[in-house]
Amino acid sequence: MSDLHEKTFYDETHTVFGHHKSKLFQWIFSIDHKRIAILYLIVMMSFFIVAILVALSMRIELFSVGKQIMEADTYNQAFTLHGTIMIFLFVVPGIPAVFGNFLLPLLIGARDVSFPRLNLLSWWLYMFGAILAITSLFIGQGFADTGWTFYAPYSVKTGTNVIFALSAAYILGLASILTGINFVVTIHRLRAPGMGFFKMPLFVWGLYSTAWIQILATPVIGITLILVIIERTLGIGIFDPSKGGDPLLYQHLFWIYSHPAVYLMILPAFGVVSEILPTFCRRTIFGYRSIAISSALIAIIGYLVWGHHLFTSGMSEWTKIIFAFLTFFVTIPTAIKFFDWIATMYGASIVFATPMLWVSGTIITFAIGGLTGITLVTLGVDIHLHGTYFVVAHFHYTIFGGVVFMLFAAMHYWFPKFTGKMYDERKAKRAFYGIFVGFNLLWFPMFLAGAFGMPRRYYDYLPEFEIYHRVAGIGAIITIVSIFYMLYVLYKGLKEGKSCGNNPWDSTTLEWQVSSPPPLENFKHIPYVDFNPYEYEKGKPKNDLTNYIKRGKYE
Amino acid sequence: MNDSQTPEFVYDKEGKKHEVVDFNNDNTGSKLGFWLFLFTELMLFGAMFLVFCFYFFRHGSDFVHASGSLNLILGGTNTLILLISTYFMGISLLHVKENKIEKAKKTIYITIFLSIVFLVIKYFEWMAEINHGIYPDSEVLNALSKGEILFFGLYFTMTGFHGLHIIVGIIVMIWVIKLLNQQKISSEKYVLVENLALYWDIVHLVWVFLFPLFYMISFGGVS
Amino acid sequence: MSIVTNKMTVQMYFKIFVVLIILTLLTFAQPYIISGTISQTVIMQLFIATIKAVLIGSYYMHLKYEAPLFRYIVLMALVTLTIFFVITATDAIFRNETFDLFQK
Repeated sequence: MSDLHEKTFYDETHTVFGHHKSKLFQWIFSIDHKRIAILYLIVMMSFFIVAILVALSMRIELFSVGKQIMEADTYNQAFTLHGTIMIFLFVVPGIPAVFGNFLLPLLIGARDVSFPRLNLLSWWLYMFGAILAITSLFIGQGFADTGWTFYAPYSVKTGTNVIFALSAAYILGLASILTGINFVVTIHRLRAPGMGFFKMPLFVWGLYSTAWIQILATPVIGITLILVIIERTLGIGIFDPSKGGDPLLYQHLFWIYSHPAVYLMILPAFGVVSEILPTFCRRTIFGYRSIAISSALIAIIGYLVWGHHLFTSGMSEWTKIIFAFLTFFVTIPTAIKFFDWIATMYGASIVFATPMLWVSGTIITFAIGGLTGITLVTLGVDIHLHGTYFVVAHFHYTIFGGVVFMLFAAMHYWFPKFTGKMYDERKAKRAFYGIFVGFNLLWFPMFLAGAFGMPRRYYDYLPEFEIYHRVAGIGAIITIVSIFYMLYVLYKGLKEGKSCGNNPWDSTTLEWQVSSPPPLENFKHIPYVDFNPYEYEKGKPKNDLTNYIKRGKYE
Repeated sequence: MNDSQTPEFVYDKEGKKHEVVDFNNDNTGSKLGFWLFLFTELMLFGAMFLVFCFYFFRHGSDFVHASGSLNLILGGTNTLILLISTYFMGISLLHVKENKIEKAKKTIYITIFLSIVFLVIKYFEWMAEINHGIYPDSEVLNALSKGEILFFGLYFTMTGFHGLHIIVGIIVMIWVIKLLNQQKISSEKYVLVENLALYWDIVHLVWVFLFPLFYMISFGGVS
Repeated sequence: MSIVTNKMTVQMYFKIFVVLIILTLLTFAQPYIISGTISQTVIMQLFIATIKAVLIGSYYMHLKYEAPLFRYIVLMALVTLTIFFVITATDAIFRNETFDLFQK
């Protein structure tokens, strides 16, 4: 029961310097990890909406053969903008920036992250990169038109504002690196006494593996983008074939980051699944150890597979075979997770609240996405499918159907913890069904279109593909309307929702044993934690430390 | 909430005390965080070395030929200068730990001085190339063979990045001197100097690999 | 954390410094001691550089005296970098070779 007299982190905060009267400054200079998480949430969702509206404009353009609303050059800029915003401004910061920031200290029993001021700096860098990217829309020849992959030599030669986009991506990468460093040190140093690595919640395992990828992979794309900037300005010849450069080397360097980046996106999402499942299945998760270790394995093996993005670019045959072989391996830890999750659900008394609904949805969509990935890795098949709509469908099923679905699930699951209120369950479920149906209408036809030869990033197409684009267009509209409806439901919950207690879902992890919303510095008394994170007894959480956290005593 | 001097304790069900790490005062955490940042430097320069090795493999003899035009004496002198500066930077850390603040400041000044000498020599090396008409996208350079164009492109880029890191190091060293004067760094609180020494060691490490790959390969295949 | 640098003394720093100077002079002298082809020169140079790197890492950067965690994470970073080099190398080396599994 939240004490009405107790202050929450909305009432008071620590700032990086000075005391501020203005509420705005108390937010944007706050070093409290919970406020920073909310700052990220607001900006990221705004960019998400911009990016899906750009996507809508693309779908409208592609609704029929021929030009509808934009020229071909504008279309190139549209899909570059959509991809760049979605990848660098939304999904890569994604779950770690919002839910990692908010929950990590709470889950491990700490007061904040190891470097709170660095945390705030990450957000400021994120804002700076975002503003840089958006500014380039309105200058000169407009936003880059290279695709979010910025392949050389076109990215070196094109007249659009590539340098802006690359600088923005570099700065956003810096923000990502600093967050990664923060999380690794926090997890190593600030776990509550008694909490060994194999007693941490699985979301923390996901964040840990993700943070390592952020640290080791991001610098590679950082230097690659800088090399392109130097190439554009100084002409050193590194990716210019006329000077001996190799465009394929650019692709290697780009994907050495960008493939681990997708694991960076999905690992926290898998962590969210592992948090939601035990709560709504009312039992401990099946195979805790294997899920934890598989997170680390996915991160490790994920470094070895980048070449499957280069299968048709002209790499050596031997290298292609090596990459295909290694990529098949990375599916194994993911499959282990799926088996463990399904085993958790088997025979359980499941409560189908909205977060559980989202998890069920993602198990379907990510399974489809992952399996079609295996189709793509099969070398002979990839010759036909690379660069087609099959790939577009694959990565939207995995990224949207995996990462974004879990972001939505997390938004519903931890909504009570963030706000102290509950949203309307029935309406939220409606939103889920709308998005789920729209999602499949939007992207499933693309598997077929791609298999039949529809190329991606194409402004126009042959009439035989029109039916797929029509269905996808309708799916797009349903999806977008439903997404707005979902956001509206959450907004209403924020304004008018019913007050909820500390632990409305009867979950076992530490964040539910403090008030909703939590106070500044999280725990009045840090607890001693020596039990497994998902222990239930007769459908109720077995270990309850609320008393100790509040009073410092066990009774 | 506690002040940073008194440690916080947690009691388990048996009544045993356990100490909690205070994130506001965690030297091991600071060092760990800095090591992780150094990994990003490792990957950054590592990727550039990857590019170098890739093109070196392709244009071996061109690279060797281009390497021959670099000034070995200046490059070699810089190698020794950087090594000596690393020694002094390391010593300054030991002095800080033993509370010999004046000695620490002196050794940091020596490090700064040596670093500036390094940069000056580097400037002369660059000017030597530029005065021969060899700089990125110059007519002279573009007329050379592909391997040579790439070699010099990588030469300016990689030594440029390395030099940038030295400049940043110098700035931090000056800031550390200021903090030493203000007694904000002491034999109790010296993790900043420790991290600076680690940073300087990485800067030196990059050069340890840069020097043979750019300068010494000129001896390959020549008897 | 103070256990670490208590083992480092000025004498130790100086001894390592002398070894590093010798190795650096060896770097300069190598071509005159054993001259070789491009590959052989590169291998010898990188070999000396690696020894220097290990000394700098273990002693100057205190890895020899730090908690095992620090050594593990350095190893992880180095292994990751090595993987990038090795796999990219296969592309560099075999780029223009055709590979036909069923070739007679």
